[in-house]
Amino acid sequence: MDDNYFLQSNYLEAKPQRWRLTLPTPFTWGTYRVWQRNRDAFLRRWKTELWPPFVETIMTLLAFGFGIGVYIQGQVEGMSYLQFIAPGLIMSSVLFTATFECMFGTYIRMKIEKMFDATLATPITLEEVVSGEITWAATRATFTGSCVLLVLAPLNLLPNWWVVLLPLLGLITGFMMASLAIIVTSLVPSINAFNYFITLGVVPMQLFSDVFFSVSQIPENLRWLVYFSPLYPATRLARAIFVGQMGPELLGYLLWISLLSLVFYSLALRLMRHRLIK
Amino acid sequence: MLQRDERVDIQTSVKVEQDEIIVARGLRKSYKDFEAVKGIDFTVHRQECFGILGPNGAGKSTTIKMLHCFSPLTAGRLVVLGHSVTGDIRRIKAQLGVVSQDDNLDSDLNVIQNLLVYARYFGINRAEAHRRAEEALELFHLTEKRHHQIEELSGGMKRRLVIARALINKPRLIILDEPTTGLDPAARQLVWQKLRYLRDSGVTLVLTTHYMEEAAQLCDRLVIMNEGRILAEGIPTELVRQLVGYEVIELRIKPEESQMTLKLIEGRPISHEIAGDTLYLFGQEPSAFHTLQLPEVNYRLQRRASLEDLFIKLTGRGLNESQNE
Repeated sequence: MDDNYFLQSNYLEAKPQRWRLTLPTPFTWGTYRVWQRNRDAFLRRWKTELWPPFVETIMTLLAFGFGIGVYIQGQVEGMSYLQFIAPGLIMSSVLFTATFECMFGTYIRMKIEKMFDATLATPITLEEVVSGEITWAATRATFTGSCVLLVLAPLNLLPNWWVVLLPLLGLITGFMMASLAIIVTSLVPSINAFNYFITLGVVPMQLFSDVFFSVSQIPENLRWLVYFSPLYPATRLARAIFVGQMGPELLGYLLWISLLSLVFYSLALRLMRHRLIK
Repeated sequence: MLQRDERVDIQTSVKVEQDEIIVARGLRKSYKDFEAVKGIDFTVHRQECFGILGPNGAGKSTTIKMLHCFSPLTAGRLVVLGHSVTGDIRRIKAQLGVVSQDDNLDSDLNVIQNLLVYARYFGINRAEAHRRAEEALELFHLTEKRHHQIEELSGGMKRRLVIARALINKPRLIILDEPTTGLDPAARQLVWQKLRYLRDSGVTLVLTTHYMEEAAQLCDRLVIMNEGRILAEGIPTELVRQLVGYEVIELRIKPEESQMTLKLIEGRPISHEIAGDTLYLFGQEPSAFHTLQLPEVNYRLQRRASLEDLFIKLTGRGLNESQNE
C-alpha cells in the first residue's frame, strides 16, 4: 500500500508555469493527513478549546438578546429580535473561528514554528498543507457554529427541523472564510498586520451583514456595499433555513457562496505557493 | 521497481549509475537580485557521507533546498534517488529524510505523536508507525521522554528527535542542514555517533556544516563552496594534503622578523602565508620542517595540517575581504 499511496492523491501536480489553469481540489489523502494533524492537536487541547464557544454564545445572547433586545419591542422581519439575530450569530461565529484559525493559527505554524517546512519534506504538497489548514478551519468553524445552535435549542429558538442543514452551511461558509483568511496570511509581512484585516474586514463584515439589524435599515444608495460582504449571503441563507422559509431564491445565495469559495480557495493556494516557494 | 545497472532519466538525460544517489550537473539557483548557486556539479554515491562546506552565504542551504525538492532549480539537472527533481517529486520524498537547520517540531503534539503524525504523512499504517517510532526513540535515547511536551526537551534532545523523525520512513538518503549547530560538545558527539551508525547501516548522508571538526569526523567526501561555486572536491585527508600540505607551523611574529624567517625556508618545500600578526608555514612534504631552525618567538605551534587550513585557504580569512572593501 505504501508505494501506491502517493499516487492515489488526485491533486493535479503543481507545475512551475504560473498561470496554468488547473482546478484545485481539497479532496486528497494528503489534505486529509494535514487535517488529521490539526484535529489531533485540537483534541489534545480540548480542555481549553471546548467550552469557549458555549460561554461566548451565552454571553452574546445575554448582551444582545436580553440586553439590547428589551429595547426592541416590535418584530424584525416578522420575528422576535432574539430569533432574528440567532442565525446571524451562528454565521458570525463561523466567520470568526475560521478566520482566526487561518490567520493566527496558520501564521504561527508556518512562520514561527516552521511546521510547513517539516511537512513539505514528506510527500505532502504545499497545496495539501494549505488545503488541510482550510478544511480544518472550516471543520472547527462548523463545530463552533453547532455549539451556538445547541445553546439556542433550550431557549426554544429553533423553530423548525430545517436547522439541521445549518452545520452544512457552516462548513461551506467556514471554507470560504478560511480561504479568504489564508489569502490575507499569504500577504502579511508580520503577525501585527492582521489588525488591518480584522478592523477593516472581519468586524465590518459582522456588523453590516444582516446579523444584528435588517439590511433594509441601510440607506439604499449604500446598500450595495453590503452585497460585497461574503458573510451577507451566508446570513440570508441561514435565516431562511432557520425560520424554514425555503424557496428557489436561496439558490442564488448558495451559488454566490460557492463561487466565492472557489475563487478564494484557488487564490489562496496560488498566493501561498508564491509566498513560500522561492 | 526498476533494477537495472544503468538507466537514463528521460526528462534530464543524465546518465545515472545504480550506486549514484545524487547527480547534479550545472546546478544553478537565482533569486530576484542575486545568484546563490552559480552552476555546480557533484555526485553522491550510495552509503557515503557527503559534506557540503562553506562560509555563511556560500549557497549550501540553497543547494540543500534544491536537493530535497523544496526550491525549484533555475537551471541545470538534478537527479535524486533515480528521479529528476523536476518530475514526480513524491517518489523522491517518499525515500528521503530531511533534517532542517531549525528544530521544526510540532509543539502542539508530544514526543511520540510528533513521530506518529509524521509517519502518517508518509502513509505508514498505525501499527507499523508505532513500531518504527519506538525504534527511533530507542536509537536516540528518547524512550523515556515518549510522552513529554516538546518544550520540556533540551536542545540536544530536540535535535535528536528531529533526526529520529527523519528516519520514520526508512529513508535511503538523509539530508542534514547544519545538524549540530548550537549543541553542546556532548550532544554533538552523540549526534555524530548516531549519524555514523546510520551510514554504516546503509543510509547515504548529505550534510552541510561550517564546523571543520564535524566534517572531519563524519564526511567520507566533501565539497567546499564559496559564493555559489564549488572550490574543491574530494576525500578530506587527501584534499588537505594536496592543497595545504602535511604539517603547519604558526608563528606570532613581527613583520620585520618574518622577512628573516622567510629567507630561512627558501629552497625548502614550504609555502607560507602572512595573516595579520601570524606567519603560517605549510610543509609540502612529510619532513619539510626537519632540521629547520626558526627564531625564538613567544608563540609557536607545530601541528598537522587540517581541514580548517584548507577551508581558510580556499574561502579566505574574512580579513582579506574587509581589506578589499
